[in-house]
Amino acid sequence: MQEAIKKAKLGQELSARELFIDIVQEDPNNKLAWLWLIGLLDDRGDLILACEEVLRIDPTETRARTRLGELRRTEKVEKERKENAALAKVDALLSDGNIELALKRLRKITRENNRSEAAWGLLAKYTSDLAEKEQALSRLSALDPTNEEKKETLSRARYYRANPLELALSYEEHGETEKAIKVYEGLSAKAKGRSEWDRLFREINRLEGMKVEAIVHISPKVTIARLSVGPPILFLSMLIIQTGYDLRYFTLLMGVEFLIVIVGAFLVALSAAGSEHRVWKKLGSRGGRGSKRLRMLVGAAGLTMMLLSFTLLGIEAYVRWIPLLI
Amino acid sequence: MFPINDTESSRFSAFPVMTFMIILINTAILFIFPPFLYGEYYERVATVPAMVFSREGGGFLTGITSMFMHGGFFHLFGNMFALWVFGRRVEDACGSWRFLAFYLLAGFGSDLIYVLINSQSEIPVVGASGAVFGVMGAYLILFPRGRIRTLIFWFSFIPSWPKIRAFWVILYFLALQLVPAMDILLNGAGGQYSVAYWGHLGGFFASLTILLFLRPEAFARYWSDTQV
Repeated sequence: MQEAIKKAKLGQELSARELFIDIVQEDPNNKLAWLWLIGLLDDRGDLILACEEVLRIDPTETRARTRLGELRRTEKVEKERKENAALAKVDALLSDGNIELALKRLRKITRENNRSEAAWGLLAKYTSDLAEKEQALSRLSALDPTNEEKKETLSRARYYRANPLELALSYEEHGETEKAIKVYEGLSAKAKGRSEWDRLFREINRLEGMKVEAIVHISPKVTIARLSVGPPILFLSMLIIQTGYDLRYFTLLMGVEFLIVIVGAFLVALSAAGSEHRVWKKLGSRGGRGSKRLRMLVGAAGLTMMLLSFTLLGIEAYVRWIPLLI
Repeated sequence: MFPINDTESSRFSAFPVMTFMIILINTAILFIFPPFLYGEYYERVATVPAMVFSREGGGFLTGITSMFMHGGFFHLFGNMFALWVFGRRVEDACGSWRFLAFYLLAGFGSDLIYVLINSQSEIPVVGASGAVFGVMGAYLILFPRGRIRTLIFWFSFIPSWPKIRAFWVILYFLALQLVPAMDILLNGAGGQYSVAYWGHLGGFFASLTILLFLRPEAFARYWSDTQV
């Protein structure tokens, strides 16, 4: 010990450090040797270890505590700086369209720091692996447990993992054709039979065809709006002819029929579009898209309502026509 | 100038079932109920604008019935030939049942506009021409670069049959309607013409309106000059 201290005082740091390391290996409770090591070590990790050892032996040691605090702060700042630089590189890769490399880097960042919300968020957004997406969203939710939005996103991710075809449809209706194709490709690799593979291949082929033909993406909201407007306009045209272009002959029954057509057309449009809508959420669908059976039921209800109104108007026209036909 | 064939083949279906069925039904109706035998009956099921305005007869139902009746063989032949030329690829693009719905809606739209413009007319109107013009409108929007084999008689007697872009063929037929249609609109000269020019224009514009609802992406593609 005396020799190690002497060497340290003479500036022979390397050999002094070797001696102190030998001492603490023989006697891990030697506080003085650990304190000397704090002054001689270079590596931050080793320094933190030495400070922790001192505090283990003597928790009242304020110099070691202060030094440990400083070291941890520096380590945190350094880590954040590195992480920000890595995330900036990931951003650059993403904007260049190099998704695979970006994902590799994101996985590395999250391995090194599993508390990086930004990295988990990007991983959840860009990964096409449903299990990884769920893991990322689960981690994000754990990091911010009071956030209801994150919980809902996680719940949706779990639903989509169980129903991947619905996820592909969701991507497609948001105009993310590439992602939808990737989901189908992933599923086709795990297809259990020829017919399933054929079905998935048809979907991939359809989406590839859309890309080749540069078919413009139309938002499902626009689709629902335009499909909802069509039948009422047709019905209104029929009403206009039926009343001889004179609004005075517009009856209360016609008004009710018209309202029924509006509601019916909306329901049919909603089920025909099969897209995410708050109506489906209110009806209890976790994915917000409605199940096939629910969509069929709502569509059938809408169609019945429309047919009822059109039939009633048709009967009215036919009754007026009979005297002329006979 | 007579369009005689679509030069490009269908992509998805081998045979235009609905186009063929519509032609068959129209032809059957003409031959089973020929106008020279059932002329009086034709007037009852045809669209008569004055009757519509006085709230007599079948109202909107006559818009549908009149669409399947023709005044004679050449009337039927002209309409059905144009339907065969332009309808096949439109049906191929949208499917048989949607094509039928579109055809009926275009015909109905044509009726709506014709009745409005010729409100005083007591002349019964029959024919599928409004719906056929609607199909031509759909062809124009869906296949802007489509080419139609067209028979042309230069100086009225030298025949040639070049492939002409659908745009020019349809524009030619629309131009033919414009002068009499304006005469009817501005001078109320509907009685002078035996052709429902406003029915034709009505069908064409109705089809554009319907397509705006059903296939807005087709319009986007049309403006970006991309072919299906």
